[in-house]
Amino acid sequence: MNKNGEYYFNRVYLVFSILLTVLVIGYTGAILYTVGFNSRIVWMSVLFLVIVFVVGGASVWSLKCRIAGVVNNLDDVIDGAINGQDRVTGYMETNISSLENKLIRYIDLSTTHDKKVEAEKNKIKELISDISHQTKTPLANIVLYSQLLDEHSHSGLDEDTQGFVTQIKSQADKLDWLIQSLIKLSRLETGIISIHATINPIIESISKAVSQVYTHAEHKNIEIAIDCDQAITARHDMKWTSEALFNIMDNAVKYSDTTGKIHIAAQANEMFTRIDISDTGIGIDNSELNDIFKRFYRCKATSKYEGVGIGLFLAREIINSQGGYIMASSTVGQGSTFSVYLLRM
Amino acid sequence: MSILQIQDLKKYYGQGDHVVKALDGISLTVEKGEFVAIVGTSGSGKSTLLHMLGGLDRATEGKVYVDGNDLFDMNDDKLTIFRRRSVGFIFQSYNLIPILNVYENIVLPIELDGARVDKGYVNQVIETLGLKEKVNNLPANLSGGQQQRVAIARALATKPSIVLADEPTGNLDSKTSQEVLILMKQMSQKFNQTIVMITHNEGIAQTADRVIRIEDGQIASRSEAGRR
Amino acid sequence: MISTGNGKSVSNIARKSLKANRMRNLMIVCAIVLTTLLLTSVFTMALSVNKSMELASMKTVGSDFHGGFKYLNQDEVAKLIQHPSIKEYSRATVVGDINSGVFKNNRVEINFVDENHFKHSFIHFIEGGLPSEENEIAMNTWELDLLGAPHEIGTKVNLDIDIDGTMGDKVISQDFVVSGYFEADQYVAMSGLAYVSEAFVQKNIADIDTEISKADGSYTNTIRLDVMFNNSLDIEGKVKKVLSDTGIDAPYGVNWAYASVSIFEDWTNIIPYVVLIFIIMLSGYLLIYNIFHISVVRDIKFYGLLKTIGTTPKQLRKVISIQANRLYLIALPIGLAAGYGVGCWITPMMTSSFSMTEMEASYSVNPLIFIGAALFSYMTVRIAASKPGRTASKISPVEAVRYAGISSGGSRKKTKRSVNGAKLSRMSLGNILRNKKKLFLMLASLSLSIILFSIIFTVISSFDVNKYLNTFISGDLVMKEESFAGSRNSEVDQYMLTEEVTDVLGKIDGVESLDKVYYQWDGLPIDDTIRSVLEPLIVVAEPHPAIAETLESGVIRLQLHGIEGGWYDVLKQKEIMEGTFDRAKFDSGDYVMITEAILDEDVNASYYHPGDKIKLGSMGKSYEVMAVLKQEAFYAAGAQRYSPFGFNVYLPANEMKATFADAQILSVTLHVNPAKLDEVDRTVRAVAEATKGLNVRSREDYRQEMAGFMTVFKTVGYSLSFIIGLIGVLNYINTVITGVVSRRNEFATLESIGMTKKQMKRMLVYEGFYSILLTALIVGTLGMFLTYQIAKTLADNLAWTVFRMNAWPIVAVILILMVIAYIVTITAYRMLSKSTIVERLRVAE
Repeated sequence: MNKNGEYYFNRVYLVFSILLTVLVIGYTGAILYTVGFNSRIVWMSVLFLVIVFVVGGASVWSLKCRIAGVVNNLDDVIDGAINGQDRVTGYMETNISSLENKLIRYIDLSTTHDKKVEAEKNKIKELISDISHQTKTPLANIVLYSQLLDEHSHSGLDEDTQGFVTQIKSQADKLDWLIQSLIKLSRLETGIISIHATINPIIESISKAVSQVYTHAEHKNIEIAIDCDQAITARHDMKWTSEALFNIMDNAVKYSDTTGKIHIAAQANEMFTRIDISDTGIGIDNSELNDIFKRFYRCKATSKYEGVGIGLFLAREIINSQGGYIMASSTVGQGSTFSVYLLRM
Repeated sequence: MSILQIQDLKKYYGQGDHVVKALDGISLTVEKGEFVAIVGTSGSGKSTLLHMLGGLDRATEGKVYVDGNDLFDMNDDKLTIFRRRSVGFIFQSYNLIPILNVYENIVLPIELDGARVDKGYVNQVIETLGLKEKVNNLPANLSGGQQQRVAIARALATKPSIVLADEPTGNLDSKTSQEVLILMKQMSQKFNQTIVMITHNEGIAQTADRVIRIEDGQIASRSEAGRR
Repeated sequence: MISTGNGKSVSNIARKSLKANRMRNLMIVCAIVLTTLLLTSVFTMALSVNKSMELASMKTVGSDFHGGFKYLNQDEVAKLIQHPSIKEYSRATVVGDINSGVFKNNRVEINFVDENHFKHSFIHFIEGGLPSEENEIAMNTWELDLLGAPHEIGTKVNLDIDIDGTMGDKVISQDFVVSGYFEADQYVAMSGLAYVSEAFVQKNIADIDTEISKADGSYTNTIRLDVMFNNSLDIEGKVKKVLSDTGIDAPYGVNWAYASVSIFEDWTNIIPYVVLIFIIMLSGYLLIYNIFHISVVRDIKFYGLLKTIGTTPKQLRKVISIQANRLYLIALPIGLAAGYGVGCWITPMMTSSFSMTEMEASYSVNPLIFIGAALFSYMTVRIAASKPGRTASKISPVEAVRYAGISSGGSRKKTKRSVNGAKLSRMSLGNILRNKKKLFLMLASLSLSIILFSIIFTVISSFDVNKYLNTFISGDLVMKEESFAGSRNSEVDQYMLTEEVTDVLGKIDGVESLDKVYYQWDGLPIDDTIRSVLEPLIVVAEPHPAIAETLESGVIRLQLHGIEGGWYDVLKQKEIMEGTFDRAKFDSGDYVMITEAILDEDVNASYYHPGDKIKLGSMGKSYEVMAVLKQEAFYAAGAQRYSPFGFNVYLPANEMKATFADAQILSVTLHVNPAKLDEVDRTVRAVAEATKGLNVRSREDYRQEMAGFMTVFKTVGYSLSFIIGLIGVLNYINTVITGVVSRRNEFATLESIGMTKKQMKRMLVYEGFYSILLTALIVGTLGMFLTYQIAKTLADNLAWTVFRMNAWPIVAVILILMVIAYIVTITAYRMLSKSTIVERLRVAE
């Protein structure tokens, strides 16, 4: 087939029609010449020509439809193969069927490859999960013993040793927190724990998160205000969402000085429900706004604070897997606002 | 291979002393799946750039490659068909066809191509954009945000190589703007869609993966706004 | 309040806007010119035809004086001319008349008139002038012909002038020298005229006592004073006033040409003109409205901008109306002048077709024409520009900045239940149905034009020559007594068409048959039956001038026709008003068929009805009325003359022959073998040449006479239908272009998301196709039906058409429309794609 495709076809039609017309006219003319002018003959020839054109046109048109049908069939075949559905044409003695066969073979090959890669990834994830699980017990023991050591230390340990003991305890705590988060994360990623998002009022999830952070906040004399209508709902998993919200609020408390304020406001929009958590903390530099959600990322300004850099990462994973989104905006020295978007339906 | 390559793009209007340099040597690469924002004030040349990318206008100098295709090597008809299959447009004023309902507007580019609609995919897009209820409505009966969502769906329906958005939130209020942006971002991630958005609003630009600033027809700064 | 001086700025804007839109201005001016032209020509036609009719009547009367006083003497004249209401006058002295010799059948009146008389009569000297010497005389051309004298000044003629009427025998016989001669219509005026000099009067009749001459009926030396008043209203009243004011009692005459004949008399005559005017205005309105609308839509951003910077809606409307007015003023003189020209050109065609008699076209220069046309035209322009003006004024500035053209205007539809509508053909359909009102208007106007065109065309093509000719001549050749061929007198002492002549004709080789019509006039005494019909006519507001006379005379004139068998078949069923035609009964000779009598213009009624008995004096027998026929039945057989309030009576020829031994033959019609037609024609004409007083007409002669009429009919008809069709098509083109232009932005969007030019063209072509399809549906069904009905009714009622259903106009027009639609669509698209997508999109932003 040459480049012009359709034009080529049209030209063929045109040539043939002209040929036909000329033929009929010539034939008619010849007859009239021999027999003498008879209007009836003329009319019949015209009729003949018209009928031939109609028939010709009809056959061309039906051929066109057939071909279109064949192409559509191919289309279905490809779609089916891509989506991993059953063979469309089955095992038939047609070109299309054998074409389908080839196609399925090829797709099988690539799917297998993909599957292998997937399997590899999962293996790694499982490994991590196992490791974190396995380390839980030894870690628990270390924490236990370091606590015991700490208690006993009050009776007859010198200052240095006391200091070492405290260090061990705090590091153990940190390690514990890290392992816990990692376990949660890996479980989340491998899908052992699944998130069930249902439509619920968010006030509960917010309250739950607030209650967990309340003591810490009170300790630092930080005021928490909640501005949330009872009726506002969102499609979310309450347990996991409150965990994510807790992580954010925890940061808010952590990075705020004493007598700060934390304001939680909820708003139902058309597609999303939005929860704003604003604090009067140290703020985040603009250049780091997107980095803070990275795994183990800690802002330069937070060096003197406790923290692993995994809370926001976890929060984002949780929210994203519910079809939501977290955004941050901040002014250094004044405070930050974290906006959590959850799907409404 | 990057999905979009711009090489030393220049667009000059007029001649001699009155030359207006809308674009004065832009070079840029965009990878597949990126959400890039191009920021600039009015007259900075960002609209011109976008029109070039979509093959709506031709450059004075320079090259644009979309998915390996040299745009300026194609004639008008080819460009139109290229646009239909490989580019999705989202305009500031939505530009929906008033006599077609939501579904018809979305599948219009596909039907223009005479191709068959991948119903599964289209329905998925419609659902993700929250338009399932409104599928039979006429554009006149939709809010601004809803209309823009229809435009987004239309842009995505053909699974284009690249989606070009021209101030997509320009006519929307702040709340709706946020929502539309978040949706665009999600689309980008979910369907691995490359999006190039132009805007004059810094805050909006921040939603993107990468922000490129244009001033007086040249790139002023690039910043990595961070990966997803 | 004191208004701000912002009128100037508004007109400034209007002026700039005019300058910027040359193309549009040109189109509007053309449209206005067309409208004005048509209106003016219609007005001109109407008034000119009216004037021509008046003129024709006046020619019959002889002058255009408003009124006149008769049989006055010098003193009375002197008194009358003093009256203030008489603006102009002229004196005509009755001298005598010539009624012997060659003028036996064509009386000539001799008068002495003053110069003023000529101004108001219809006499124009071909050569020479009024006589001054005593032996000079001015005569008209046919009088000279009868005398056998050449048309030259100085010719000597010998005349016998009878100066004391039929009673006396004083005759002045002398030689005269022709001082001048003039053209006169032999058949229009009542009698011939000739003029003598004052000298002659002084010499011969100046001393005749008017009282005596009045008494003996010769009226010699009496003076007739013709007067002109200020205007022609209530002439009779004015005349009477003059008489009463001066205390003179004299008979007076009122020029009834002013009173009775006018097309405005009869409302039904005006209707076609009114309809025509209405159609013209409507089409003009549509055209102009469309052009303005497109213009406003194109410049919507401009108007929105104006609004933003503070122009009030009223001012915006003014901007548009000022432009409309200026363009109107430019177009007006052109339209008026051209229209007057066209009207004058058409008028002769109308006048010659209006009546069977010759009517000279007179052109009315009544200022009313121009004022009326200008007024109507202005109304059209004003109304047409008002709606776009309102559109422009109502635009909200923000919307104007991104006006997308025609909004889907008030479509209440919220949802649309289809999932496969993005196919091009469906989109086209949706596009057309977008604005139902506009679609309806366009379809209506287009269909209307096509249907009108079809009706007119069908009627014209139903023209059947033979049917037309049959009203004049039933066979191939007809020979008539010349005295019947036009002159008024029926008293002749020698008939030239005799039985011998007809026998000769009958023997000519090739003549297959001949039918004779015998003639006799009769006077029917007015009996109660007749009186009961006539009397109510006197008491109406404007009685016919002749009715009083007729009633007084006590007799109404009948024309008896004895028809031979061949004529029986000529009678058409629809010519029979009452009763039935029974051949056998008719042949028996005891029955007659009578026609209706003409009571007034277009008012006919029959005195008698089937079953009544009439006594015909001349026949000396009573007959029973078998049927009442229409006035024009047996037209070809009749004498083609009408006496007021009289009617025709048809009897079998044998009846008349039985009663009158030497019955007068009115005509003989020959039916000829077609192969021998030429020969017979020549032979018959030779016979007529040989015998003076015979008149031959062949079918071919009539055909040629009527050819002119047919041409006129066809020309007017075809042009009219063409214009109507054209207007419809122009309107369609306008609508299409508006639709395309205002959807510019939408098309830009479509192109940006990937619709190729070819697809766009296809969509537009589909749209055109759909609208033509819809039109074809309407026209094919309703149109065919209407064409059939209306054309059939018209054709049946017109004497010269035989209804022939013609579907070709509609089919042809639809085909042409398709071609036009295609061309227009492609052109409209080309207009669009001139600017690049970016520019168009930018507009959308």
